[in-house]
Amino acid sequence: MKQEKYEFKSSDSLLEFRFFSEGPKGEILKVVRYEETFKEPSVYNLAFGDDLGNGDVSDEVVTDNGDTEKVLATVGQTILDFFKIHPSSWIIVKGRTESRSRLYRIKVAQNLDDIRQQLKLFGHVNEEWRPFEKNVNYDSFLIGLKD
Amino acid sequence: MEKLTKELIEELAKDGCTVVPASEWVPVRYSPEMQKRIDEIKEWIKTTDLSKLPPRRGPVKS
Repeated sequence: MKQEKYEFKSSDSLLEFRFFSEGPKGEILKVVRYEETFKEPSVYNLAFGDDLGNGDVSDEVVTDNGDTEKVLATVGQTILDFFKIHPSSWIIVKGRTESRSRLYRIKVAQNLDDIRQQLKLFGHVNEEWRPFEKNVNYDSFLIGLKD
Repeated sequence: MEKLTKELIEELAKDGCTVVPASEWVPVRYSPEMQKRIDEIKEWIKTTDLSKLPPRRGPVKS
């Protein structure tokens, strides 16, 4: 996780983060929000989208601002910062579409060695959670802090 | 939520993160479609077997 990242702001709960994507489409406000979706074990959903300018955030926008790597690296940093005060929780990441899930799988696989230094990673396939392996078509991911 | 320590705020700053006090933070609202998907994830995760995950532990750092 040594890629270039954006600077970002967070609420003091470390449950919501905001940063600006910068590129040909201009400055676009991105929002990452963690919301508890399950207790025992504690699981927080990672929601990620664009601010639409009307107070709403949507994950249906395809920004295409030429900075996917930098944006995903920034989201990855928010995961590490979330765990600084929620170390016992899991984060679930579920792509809005199959193509979005595939993008996440590819990026995770590309950075797997770095990720595994700090995090535990599971994927959901065939109705069960399994330790993440490359080249498996997971539909969702669970991320936990490495002990 | 307990107040973040000065040390943790400084640590976050090194990550590029500026912490904003709750009194100055306006929470966002999901679009109706996004809210629906999040609600679906909440229901879906209940149907998955989380029992095989390794137990999580560790002190809460605040």
